[in-house]
Amino acid sequence: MKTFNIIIIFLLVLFVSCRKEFEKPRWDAGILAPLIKTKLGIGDIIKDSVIQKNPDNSLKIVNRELLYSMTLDSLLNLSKQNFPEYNTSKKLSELKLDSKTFSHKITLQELANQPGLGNEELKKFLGQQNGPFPAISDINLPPIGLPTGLFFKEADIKEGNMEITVNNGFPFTIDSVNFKLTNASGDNIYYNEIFKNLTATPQNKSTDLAGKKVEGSIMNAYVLNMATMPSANVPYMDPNSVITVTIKISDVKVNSANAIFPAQNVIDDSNYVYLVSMGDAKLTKAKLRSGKVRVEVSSSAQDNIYFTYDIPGATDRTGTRFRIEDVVPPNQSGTPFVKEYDLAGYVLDLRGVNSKGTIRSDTTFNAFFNKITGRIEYTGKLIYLSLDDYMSVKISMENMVPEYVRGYLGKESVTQTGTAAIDLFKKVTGGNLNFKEITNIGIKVENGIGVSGFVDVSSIKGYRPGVPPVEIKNISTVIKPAKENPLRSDTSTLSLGTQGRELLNMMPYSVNYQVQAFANKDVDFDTAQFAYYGSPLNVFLDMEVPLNLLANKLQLSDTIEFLTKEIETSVKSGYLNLIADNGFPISANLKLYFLDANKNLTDSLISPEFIKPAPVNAGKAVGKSQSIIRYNLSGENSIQKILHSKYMVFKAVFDTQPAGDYYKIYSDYELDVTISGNVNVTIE
Amino acid sequence: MIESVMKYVYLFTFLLIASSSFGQLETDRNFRFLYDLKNLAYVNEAGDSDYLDITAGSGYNSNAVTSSFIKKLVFGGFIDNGLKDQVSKRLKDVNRFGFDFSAGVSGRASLGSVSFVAGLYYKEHLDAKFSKDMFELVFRGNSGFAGQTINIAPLKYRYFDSQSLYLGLEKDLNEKLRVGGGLSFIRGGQFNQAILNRGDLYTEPSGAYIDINADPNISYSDRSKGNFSSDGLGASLNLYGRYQVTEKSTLLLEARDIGFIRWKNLNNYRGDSTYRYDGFFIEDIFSLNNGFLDRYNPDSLAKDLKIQNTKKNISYLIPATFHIQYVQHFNSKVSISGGLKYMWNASNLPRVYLKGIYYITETLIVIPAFGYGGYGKGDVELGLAKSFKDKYFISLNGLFIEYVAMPSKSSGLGLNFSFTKTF
Repeated sequence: MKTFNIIIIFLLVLFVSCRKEFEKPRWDAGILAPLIKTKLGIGDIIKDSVIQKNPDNSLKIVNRELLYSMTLDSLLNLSKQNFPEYNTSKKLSELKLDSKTFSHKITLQELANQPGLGNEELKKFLGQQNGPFPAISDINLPPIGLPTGLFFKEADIKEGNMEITVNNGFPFTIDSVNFKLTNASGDNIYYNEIFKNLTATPQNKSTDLAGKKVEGSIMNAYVLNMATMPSANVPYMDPNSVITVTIKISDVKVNSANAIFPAQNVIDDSNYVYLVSMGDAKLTKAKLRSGKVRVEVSSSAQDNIYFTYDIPGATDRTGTRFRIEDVVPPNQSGTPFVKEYDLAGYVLDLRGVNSKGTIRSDTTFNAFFNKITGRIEYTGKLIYLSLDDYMSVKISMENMVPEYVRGYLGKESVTQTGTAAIDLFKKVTGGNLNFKEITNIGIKVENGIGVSGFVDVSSIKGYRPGVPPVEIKNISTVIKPAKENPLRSDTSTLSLGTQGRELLNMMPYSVNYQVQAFANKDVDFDTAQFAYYGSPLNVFLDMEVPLNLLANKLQLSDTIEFLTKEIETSVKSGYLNLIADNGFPISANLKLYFLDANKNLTDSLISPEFIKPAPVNAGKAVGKSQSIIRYNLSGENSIQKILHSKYMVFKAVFDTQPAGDYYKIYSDYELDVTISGNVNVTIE
Repeated sequence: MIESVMKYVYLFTFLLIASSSFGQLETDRNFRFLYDLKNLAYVNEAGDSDYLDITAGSGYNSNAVTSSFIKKLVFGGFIDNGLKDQVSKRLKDVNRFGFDFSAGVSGRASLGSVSFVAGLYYKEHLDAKFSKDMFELVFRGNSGFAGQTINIAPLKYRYFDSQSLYLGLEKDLNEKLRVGGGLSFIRGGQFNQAILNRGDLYTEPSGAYIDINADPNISYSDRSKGNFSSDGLGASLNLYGRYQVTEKSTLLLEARDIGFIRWKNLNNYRGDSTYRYDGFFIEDIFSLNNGFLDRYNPDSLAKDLKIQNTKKNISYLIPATFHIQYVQHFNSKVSISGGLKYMWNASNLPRVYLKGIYYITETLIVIPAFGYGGYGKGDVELGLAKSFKDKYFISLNGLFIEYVAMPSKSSGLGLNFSFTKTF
């Protein structure tokens, strides 16, 4: 049985192990297939965006190159440094306490029950009916504790008033009595007044609390040295009759207190902010595209400070004023409260509009009014506050970018030199291209700023390798301001004259220019000026040329990135077909050069054959001519070089046919190109 | 570049016939039964003896593709024009190719009048049906067909592998008739299928375009999951009977693998229209930056050719085999066997065969055979079987052995092996 098992295992292993990976089969096959196709219109030679169609479907070049641009930023850079920082540190201006009233009733029985000679004597008459009542003196009452600690435990009183009202409900007249209020120990006397001849009519007496320091949770009230008036007959000496003492503390302002404070403003400050570094610009209004108010607050108070920051002259699109309301937590331990508030979209009236909406005569431009208040709210808790407590406030404007500004924008002069690349002719590397006519070539100034001025083009110079430069000098124009509602630019044109044609025919690769722009030159002061973000003053080089041309060995060349990664192939031999259906009255010859990563030539595909021009009737191409041009792949080595190339240089030479004739180019002209391959490859 | 383009064209239009193969080959029955039929010493009281059997077999065949050509496809190397010409001469309008591999362990245990049969199998199957033009296109390219329309349909290609557990019963209904049957529970592995019912291809003489009028339907399982992944489950039924016609003649009937496998989440590319491939359009020849060739990939090609790519579940009826065989013993040395086999749904033709059975000794037999049909044409087989100690049997059967003599003119090759122990 063991032998049997071994045989089984052996056979299983044999079957599994016999299955292995083998070499891949290979064979040669002849492949004929299209590779790429494309359509070439005039837009592939001259960029689409500059070509426009005439009513007869012939085409023209309408090209515009931006030479210089003056924006709102470059004219008036309204930014953080124009807004001085608002920086203030304020102590609490005042601290008020609420009025408090304490009332205490004393019955005749309670009074009589107290020790003392007078009190003993009084006791004898309690309950007497219709009898005489003698004069009794030296009646006293032990101190009565008033729970003032429920409202304040200590207070350094800056000003205030204490008033005691006595309502005598005893059945006799009090000749005199002394009322006194002290602290718990009796060291500090807050009130000490003698009331005379107290009948049933209430009497009151006030005392000034200024300068007094209140302390402790209890205030003691004393009734001392009461003396009664004698009476021949008292109907009834009612033991339950009462004398009522009412103590009112009012109009209290403190230097400091540990008290339950009522809601009250503790800081109230306002001022005007004058913009700085504005040159001679005098702005009356600015709408902010972006911007933030940065508020930094430090408070030593042991209570929340509810602050508000208000710019009455800043309103949003709904007319709502810019107003911040926030809370500074108590005692920040040196860490300031910092927060930013968005000002984007607000219109800032820079004529200094104050809280009442009025404008002062001395703040009619470059200024705005702001106001800050600090407030505590009633909490029901004992809190220590002092007039030495302070709130430091630092307010700054950040990232201020105006959407528009209004006012007098100031005299400004900017000189700009630079080079503008002319894309129109960048692919032309040889030969001649002549235009039969030029409709227009000139400098165009589009002023999108509401300021008049002056533009001086000192120099404009066209460059092209191997061709003498063409320079045009000293052309200038007065420019009018843009208009509003709706916003529209004012356009001025400077003609280049006959030199313009020279500049165009040289097919410049680039133009060097020097432009000087003056704002408010020789203009009266005017606050109706404006400037909008995105509405600059632009200086363009404009040209309009009908595509009625003559090409004489005009060579266009371009270098393109061909392969981003190398392709492994087993192409052995073959050729490429360029199948062209040409609708242009122009013949063309194409050459391809292949370069390695260092742009060294590795191989090329060249044929002397030309793509035939389309047949022409009455100066216009009709139909298309088909040409099939073969580009031989010289061998496997050549193919490998091509497929391992990094760049391809594309050179095309164009001739209008017959030579010497000008041809209009129409919008329906197209060259259809298909490249196919007929190759022998090894399939693996 | 051209090569890469055409590779994707191949992907779409053709099948890579040279890919790996699989299948459930008709391996015929184990020769051991010949001993059972011939010598009652091997038969237990219930009928045939109980056994444990290990079997493996593999083979391919075609009516056109020669063995020399297949050898290069399978084992690698360069396929030159001479090899292609061998095949081209044999090509018909529609051609067949099939490959099967099977290995398994099975056994039978008798309990009273009933025998229980069980087995574990691994199988691979490949079948293909293709046109003459398709072969020429794949192996010679389309440049020779410039200006012509070629017919690349019909094309049917299938490959799958599977593992199965078979459980069955056998019973002698009387002294002459034995019947049996069972169920296989199947786990499907890889599945690839490509079908073209309609397919014309025209190459413009200068190569400006290629027109394809076809209805490609290509499905394949996710190859990224590895060889042992499975997205398929299925079942099949086996039935058979053996009837002793006379004392010396026996008739066998068999129907195997009647069932299906359902594959889930197959990648499916499907289209049905006329396509014109005229190159990748480049908007601006002067702005080819960033490597325009990077856009060449199968998905972009499928998109250009309006072929829909979806995930699909497919229920596939696996190839079922129907087999009838008649055995006649003449004397103690010589018997003959003849039969007809047909594998349904496998691009297969019915195959007839005739076997001679010669008992050199009581324990050694040789079985030469001639057959016609299946994936190929006429072919020759030779089998040997040997028993040891009345308990062990080894059989070896060479299929399509005409390959040995004429590899460049023959089209098939295969080998079956089995080892059996009876109890």
